[in-house]
Amino acid sequence: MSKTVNIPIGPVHPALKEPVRFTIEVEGEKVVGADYEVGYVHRGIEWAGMRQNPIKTIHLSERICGICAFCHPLCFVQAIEEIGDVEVPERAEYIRVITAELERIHSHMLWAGVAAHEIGFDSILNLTWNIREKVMDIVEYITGNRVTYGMLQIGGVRRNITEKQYPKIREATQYYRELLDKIEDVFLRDPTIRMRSRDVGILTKKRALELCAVGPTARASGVPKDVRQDFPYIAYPDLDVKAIMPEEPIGDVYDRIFVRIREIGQSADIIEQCLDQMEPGPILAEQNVAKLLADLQNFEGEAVGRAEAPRGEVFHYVRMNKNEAPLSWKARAPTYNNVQTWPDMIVGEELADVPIIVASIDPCVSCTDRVTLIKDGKEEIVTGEQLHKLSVLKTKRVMRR
Amino acid sequence: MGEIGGKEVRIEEIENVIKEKVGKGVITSEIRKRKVVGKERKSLWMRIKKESLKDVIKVLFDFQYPHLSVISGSDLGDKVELLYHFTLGYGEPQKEQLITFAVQLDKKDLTIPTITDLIPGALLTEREKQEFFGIKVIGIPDSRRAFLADDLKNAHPWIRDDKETARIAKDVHAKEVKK
Repeated sequence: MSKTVNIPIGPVHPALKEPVRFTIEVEGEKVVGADYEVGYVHRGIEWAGMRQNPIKTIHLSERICGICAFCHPLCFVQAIEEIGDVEVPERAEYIRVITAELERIHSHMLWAGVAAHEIGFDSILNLTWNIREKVMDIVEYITGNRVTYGMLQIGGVRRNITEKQYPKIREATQYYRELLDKIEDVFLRDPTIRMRSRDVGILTKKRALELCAVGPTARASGVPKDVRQDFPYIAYPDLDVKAIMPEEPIGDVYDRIFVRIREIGQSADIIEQCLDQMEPGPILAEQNVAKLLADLQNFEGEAVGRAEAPRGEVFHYVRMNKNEAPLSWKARAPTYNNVQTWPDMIVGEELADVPIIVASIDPCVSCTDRVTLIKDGKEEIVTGEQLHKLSVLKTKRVMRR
Repeated sequence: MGEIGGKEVRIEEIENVIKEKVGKGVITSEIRKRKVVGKERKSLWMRIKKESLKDVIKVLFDFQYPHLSVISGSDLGDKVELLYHFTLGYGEPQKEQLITFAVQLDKKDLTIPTITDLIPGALLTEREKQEFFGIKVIGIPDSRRAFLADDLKNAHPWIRDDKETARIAKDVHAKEVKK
């Protein structure tokens, strides 16, 4: 009989947006092999987008991801605007940056809470999500919605940010800047979190390049990829953005926490820079939606839209051929690239570390559903909760040391 | 492998090097321009021959380890076009170059060599193209299905006139109505 045991994890959990199934091969507590399986929730969004007009698709693409609800439509509209050579008013580009950066803050705060939960600190989960409410309020304040913003239109944005609203936005950025030191205390200087994340789930720079990793996952491994810096879009060419990386990147879970926590401060800076630089002016190239729809039917060509979402590069390819609907549309989310890094990170680690490693790429999957333990030919069902308990127990163990 | 490391590599230079080394494989080449808040941004689009795909990608390695964003595709009627979207020059502010190689495959011969030997990260996107366009990627190390449900085993949704997809799309709603 083989000494190793295969443990399938996932794929379905009611709280997850992107169910993924893992098969983890363990030898005792040590993971010796890992594989992933995606596609449990393929909704055919691209297929639908190729059968309806692009304005409808903007709102459909908001629903690709509940967290990156701005980055996906942003890529889509950028591609359409390039095809039709639509000139976007500068103020609209700044408003897009502000919304995208608010999205980054709320996504990173959400992730920090999930990471704390995976390690076993539920009080920190509640604390970070409480802090996150401030940015959710601001998002609602300027877009009217908490999740799917309905902010974008081809050629600009649908809502202006008036000068009256500036003080409240500044107050929020100030709030996060003041809290940043405390957040860093909790996540970067706490000995237990450090013990649970340092040298755990390492992805080397070489492998990050080979596996086309993007976003904080790549940056933590020492690959300085950041679309905002490398290939600036919307108003980013005018803004000062530098990819955030650890000083000596190892590519472990700690480095991925480091990058995300520091990016919260960076986003606050960018938003303030936008408020300072934004000039008054129009926010939409074409106000009349009926005319815009008619214009869209004359669009011909292909283009790509790229954006740096909280999780990394989002990439959309659109091709139009003078029809109502695009001929082709490919939307690629950052997790699409980053899932391929999981086996590299997980193999060689303890089973109890799997939840935090899986969560460390900030997938839309952050906890596991159930585990079927196949031991001596018998199947044993273990719940996701029990796997989570393993992780919590490990935290308690390292705290006692 | 070369590193760009602070030195700006112009898109025209990348185009010239590709033409010099694999000139025969390039069908058309175009540098497209787009202004973003008043600043010009360029991207390189090349239509290339299927047999030259790997040679062209190898040229990119002379500059830096290329980042493969994704492989996208279009159904053009009697042909399927695959587009390999790469970037070079990342890590330096405003110096990243976007390079797209397009390869057309005849619907009678939907095969393409894998590029996972050059870039292992291309695996998932190649698996996806196999499912969605019914393409056979030759030499792919893992050809399991990736995204589609089992009842779409014979369907290739991104082929415009795919009968199986049309049947399933119709059936899905028909079943809901019956219930």
